[in-house]
Amino acid sequence: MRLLLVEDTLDVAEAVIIRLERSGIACDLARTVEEARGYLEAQPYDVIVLDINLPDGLGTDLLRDMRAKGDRTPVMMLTAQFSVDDRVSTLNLGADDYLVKPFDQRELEARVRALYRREQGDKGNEITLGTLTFNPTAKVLRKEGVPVTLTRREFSLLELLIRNRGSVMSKDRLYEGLFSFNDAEVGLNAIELYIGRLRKKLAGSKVHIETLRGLGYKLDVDA
Amino acid sequence: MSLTARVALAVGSLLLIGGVVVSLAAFAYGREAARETYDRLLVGAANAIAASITIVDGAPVVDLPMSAFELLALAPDDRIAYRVVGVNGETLTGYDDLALPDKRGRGDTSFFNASFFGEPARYAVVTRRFAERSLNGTVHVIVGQTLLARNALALDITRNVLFGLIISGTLLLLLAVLVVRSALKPLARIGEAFARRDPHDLTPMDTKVPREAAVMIQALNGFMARLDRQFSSMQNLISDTAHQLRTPVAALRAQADLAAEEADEDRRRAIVERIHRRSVSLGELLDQMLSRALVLHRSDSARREVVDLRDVALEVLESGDLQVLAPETDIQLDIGDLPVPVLADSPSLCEAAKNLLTNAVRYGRGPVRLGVSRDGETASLWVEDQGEGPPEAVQNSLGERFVRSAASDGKSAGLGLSIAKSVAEAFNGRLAFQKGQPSGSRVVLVFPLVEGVS
Repeated sequence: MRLLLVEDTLDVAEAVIIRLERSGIACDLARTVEEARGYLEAQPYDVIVLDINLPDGLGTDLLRDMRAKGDRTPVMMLTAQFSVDDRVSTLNLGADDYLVKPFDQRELEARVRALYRREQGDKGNEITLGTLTFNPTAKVLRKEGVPVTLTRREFSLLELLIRNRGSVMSKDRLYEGLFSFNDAEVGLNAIELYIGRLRKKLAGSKVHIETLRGLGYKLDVDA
Repeated sequence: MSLTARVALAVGSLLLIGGVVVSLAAFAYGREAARETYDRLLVGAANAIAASITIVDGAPVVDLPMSAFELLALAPDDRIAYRVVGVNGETLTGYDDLALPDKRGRGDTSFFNASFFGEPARYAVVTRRFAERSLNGTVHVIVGQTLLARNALALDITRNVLFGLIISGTLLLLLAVLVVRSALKPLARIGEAFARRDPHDLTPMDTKVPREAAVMIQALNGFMARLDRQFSSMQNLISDTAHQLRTPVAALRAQADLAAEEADEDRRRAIVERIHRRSVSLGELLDQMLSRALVLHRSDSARREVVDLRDVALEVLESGDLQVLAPETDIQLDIGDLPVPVLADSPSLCEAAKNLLTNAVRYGRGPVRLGVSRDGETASLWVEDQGEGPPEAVQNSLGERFVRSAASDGKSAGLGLSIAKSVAEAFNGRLAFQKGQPSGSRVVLVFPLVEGVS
C-alpha cells in the first residue's frame, strides 16, 4: 500500500510515518499543498492522509481540486477543528473519513487500512439502487458517489433490508441482525430509532423504508 | 425613505385628496352663491320693470325705469335684454325674439336658462296680474343676462377657498414634519448614547424613553445581555484553559527532561510510559474543555427544538468513541417504545450524555447501562454503573467553574459532570445522583417532558 501524508507538523508526521512504515505501508510526506500536488502528479497513491491547515493553503482546497478532476483516491482528513458542522462539511467535500487531532496512532492505522480495503473491495458485489451503491464487502454505502457514514449497526440493518428489499422484515428479524455486536445491548425498541436514522441518511435517494404497523419495515426503490 | 418623508408623504396625499374634494365642493358652492346673488339682481330689475307698468286706456304701458338697468349694470361685461309680454302674448316692449320660458312658473317669480344669441344666459320671469275693468290678465316681464359675471364670481369664490386650503395645507405639512422630527428626537438621542458607549460596556441601556422606542431598547438590552454572557463565558474558557493546561504541560515537560537525562533503560521506559499516559489524558481534557465551550455557546445561541431523548441515547451509543475508549466494557441500552420528547438542543444533550457515559466507563464498574425513561411530567436520561458513583466531594463542587483536581491528577470526571450539569440547567433541567436499580449508582439528567407531542 502506498500512502501520501500531507502534514506540516514535523514531529506528528514523523511519528505517523515511522509507525505506518513499521507495519508495511510505504509513506511519502508532503509538508505543503504545493508539494502534495507534485507528489500526486508523479504517481498514484492508495490512500491520502490530509491535514486541513497547511502553510500555503487549506487541505480542503486540494481535496476539492482532486474530486473536481475525478480523482477518487480515498482521503482521510486530519482536523483540529471541533464543531460538528466542520466535520460534516469535510465529508460533504468528498473526504472518505476524518480523524480529530489528537488521535490514537492505532486508530489512524486501522482507519487507513479500512479505506484501503474499501477501495480494493470487490466491485462485483456492489448493489445499485437508484442513486445509491451499496458494497457489502467493502462496507461502504455511496449516495451519488459520495460515501455516506453509517455506524456498524446501521450498516447491518441496511444490509438486511437491502437483501430482502420489497418484502416486509419484522422488528424481531431485524433485531436478530444486531446480535452479532457484543459490545452493547440495545434492545428491541431501538430498531425503530435506527430506522429513523437510516431514513435521514437515505433522504434524497430513491430508496425509502416504509413502516407497516405491527408487521415491520420494508425497503423499496422508486421506479 | 426617512420617517419624516414617509409622514410628509402620507399627510401630503391626505391633503391632496381632501383638497380635491373641498375644491369640488367650493366650486359647487361658489356657483350656487353666484347664481343666487345675480338671480336677485335679475328679479330686482324685472320687479322694477313690472312695477312701472301702468294701465292707460285699457292697455298696459311700460315706462322703463333707469334704476332697473342700473342694478343690472353691476355686471358690466354682461349683455342684458328684456321683454314685456302682454295679456294676449304680444310683446309690449323689448326684444321680440327673446326666449320665453318653456312652461309658466307657478309663482310670481321664476327662472330659466336659455341661450342669448348663442351665449348661455339666465332669465328671470316676473308676473304681474291686472284685474281691472279695462284689462284683466297677466303681464310677464322677462329679463335676461349672460353668465360672465356669475362665472367670474363662482371662480373667484372657488379660488379664495383654494388659496386658503393651500396655505393651511402647507402649514399642516410643516407642522407634521416638525411633530415627526420632535417625536423622533429620542431615537437620535439613543443613537448618540450608543455611539458614545465604551465598546466593552454591555450594561443595559436606560429604558426611560417613549414607550414605542422602549421596545427597541429592550430588544437591544436582551441582545447585549446575551453578548455579555457569551463574552464572559469566553473569558472563563480562556482562563480555565490557561489554568488547566499549564499543569499537565508542566508535568509533561518535567518528565521529558527527566527522560532525556535518565541513563537507566528501564526507568527511562517507565518515564516514557508516563509521558504517554499524560499526553493522552491531556488530549481528553482538551476535548472536554472544548466540548464545554461548545455546550455553553450552543445553549445560549442554538434554537430549541423537540428532541426525543431516545435518539440522543442512541446517537451517543453509536458515536463510536466508546469502542475505542473501552472495547471490553458492556453497555446496555434501556429505552421504552414511547418517545421521550424534551425541548432542547440535540448536540448539547449528546455532549452531556457522552460525558456521563465516558465517566461511567472510565471510572465506574461494568456493566454500564444507558437509559431513557419518562415519569409523569419529567423525562430522564441516565447512566448507571455498578460502582460507587462520583465521590461526594466532586458531587458538591460541581457548581464551581472548574474542578482543580482535574488538572493535577489528569482525571477529568468533575469537568464532564459539570458539562452535563450546565447542559441540564440550560434546558430547564437538573443533574441528579441516585441509587442504581437494583444496585450501583446512577447519574440522571432530568428535563421537563414536552406535552402534546407524539
